[in-house]
Amino acid sequence: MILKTGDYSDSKYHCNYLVIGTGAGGSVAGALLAEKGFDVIMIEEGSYYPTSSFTNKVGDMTAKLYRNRGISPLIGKPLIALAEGQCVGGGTVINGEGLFRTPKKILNEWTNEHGLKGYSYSDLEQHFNIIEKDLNVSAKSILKEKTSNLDSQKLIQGANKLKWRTEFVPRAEKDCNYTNSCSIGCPTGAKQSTLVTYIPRAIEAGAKIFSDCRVLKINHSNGNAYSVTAEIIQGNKKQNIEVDFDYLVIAGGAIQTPHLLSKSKMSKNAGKKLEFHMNVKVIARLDSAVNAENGTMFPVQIHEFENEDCYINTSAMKPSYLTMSLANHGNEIIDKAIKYYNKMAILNTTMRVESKAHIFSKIGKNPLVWYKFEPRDLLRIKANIKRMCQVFFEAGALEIYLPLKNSLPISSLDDLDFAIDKIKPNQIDISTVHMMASCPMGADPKNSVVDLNGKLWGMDNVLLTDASILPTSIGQSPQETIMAIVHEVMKRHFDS
Amino acid sequence: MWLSTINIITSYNLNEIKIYKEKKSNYLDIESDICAFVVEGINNLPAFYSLPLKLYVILLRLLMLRARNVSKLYKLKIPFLHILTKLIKSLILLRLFDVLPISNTKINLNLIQK
Repeated sequence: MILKTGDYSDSKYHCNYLVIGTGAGGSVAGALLAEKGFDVIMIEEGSYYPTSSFTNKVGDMTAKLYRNRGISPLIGKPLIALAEGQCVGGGTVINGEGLFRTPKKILNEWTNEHGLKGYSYSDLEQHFNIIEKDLNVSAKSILKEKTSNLDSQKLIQGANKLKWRTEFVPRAEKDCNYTNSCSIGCPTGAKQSTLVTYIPRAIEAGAKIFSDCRVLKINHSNGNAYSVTAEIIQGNKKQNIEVDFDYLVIAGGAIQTPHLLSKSKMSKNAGKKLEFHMNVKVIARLDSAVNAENGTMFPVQIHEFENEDCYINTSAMKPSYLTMSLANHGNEIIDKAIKYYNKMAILNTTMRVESKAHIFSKIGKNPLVWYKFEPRDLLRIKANIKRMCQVFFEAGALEIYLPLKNSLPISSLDDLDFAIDKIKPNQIDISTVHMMASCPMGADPKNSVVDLNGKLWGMDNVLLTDASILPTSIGQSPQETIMAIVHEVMKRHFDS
Repeated sequence: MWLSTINIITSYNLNEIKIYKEKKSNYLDIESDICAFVVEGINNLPAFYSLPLKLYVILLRLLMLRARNVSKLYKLKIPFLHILTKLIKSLILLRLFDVLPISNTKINLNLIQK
């Protein structure tokens, strides 16, 4: 059962387990709890949109599925565009369906430097296997495709010439139709987001979903949480409801979870740091048509630089995405990109960086997120801009547009060296879609927020199950890591 | 006052895009639709982002009265104007292609939707 605005007839509800959030973490926890026979309510701030309501209209879908239409900034120099899902299914509805096992070196780092016991690769492997089966994950070759994913084939071509290693991306999909709509809700239901997997499972097992419902505060006393006060909209009026529970599971994501904990005065460490990946894009006009919109976001990645935690792949292509990425370049370039739309391609690098953010929750209803740009990240960004240009030129690029304010198009690597030699951070277009580690798991309550079982320090009946509990960022898309950690946390919870 | 100023700046930036100028006559109410999308986008931002933005827009309006038109405003190189412009332009481009299809990709959702 899914309740939406207008469906709430009571002002008080009760359940055994209340799960806040329905993204990668909350949906897994909710499904596992409901399947164990518990009475579960899952609260989601965003609305419920079934697959049949998804269209190809980027503006319309972004307004529905993203927090603040995807234009919330991470305050700092430069401002970073921050995209967060806000709908039933959370970030899994709008991500690129690439599911990656946590890199072994990251898990070793967590064991050795953060004291995480029982979270080694071999410990988590059982969960990776289950998740990949649940979400139909497989890495398929696109090399024989004649009309789709031609931009990714160009990426392979360029990387091969440079002798750089590429890998096909393990994707969670069933019969993908290559509508390139991963980021605006898959209109065919092919993408195995939690909206079509764990959430239906949870509902089937009896869980109730409260959508359009924002938790304002967690009520607690003496180390025991007992209810939440949440806001719904009935008619034109905002109204508060109260949900009592025996146990609370928080999975609001790496920004909202620490914000809620701070607002509810439940943790002093929550949100003191937030780690994120930086994404930088380079756009090219190629010498032949690739019709990049016929395909999917990233079926292939360059793994040559995985030791540096940097991954290069193609990016979502729609007229809106292409032109928005060129917004800093002036209208002539935008007009040209539209004219040569079928020959345009976008490359994106996802980078693990040293810059860290903080979450300020003291004023107002919403968190303020700011970060300090770490100068060493500039070298990493420059290196990756150059790598993307190298790939594009090897793949037949005629002209490349850099993610730099007021920069001119370049047509050779010599032009590039000149263009990026003296760039400053505030000239660069950076975005982020992966935020994590704002309530890190750890063995010591002084520098962590949850213990090794995912339990909030200082509280008897509160678990955290989302990206916030990862000890650090991981370099890759974190969905499978989140899901595996949640499986482990829930296993420990059931065992106890 | 901020609302009308945002509409003026949105309209100015929209009319600088060639494809829009060429095709706008085929579409009814497209400009007001896009202006509404931009305004809603700014209104939906949390207060600590949207309030300073609105104040800044009001200041711009005062300057605009003196500069008489938006193109002159852009020539003045006013601090932070490029940030506001990027925000407005991003929202314009996000919405524009919902109503002005340019893609060659023909995806018939009715056929492939399960």
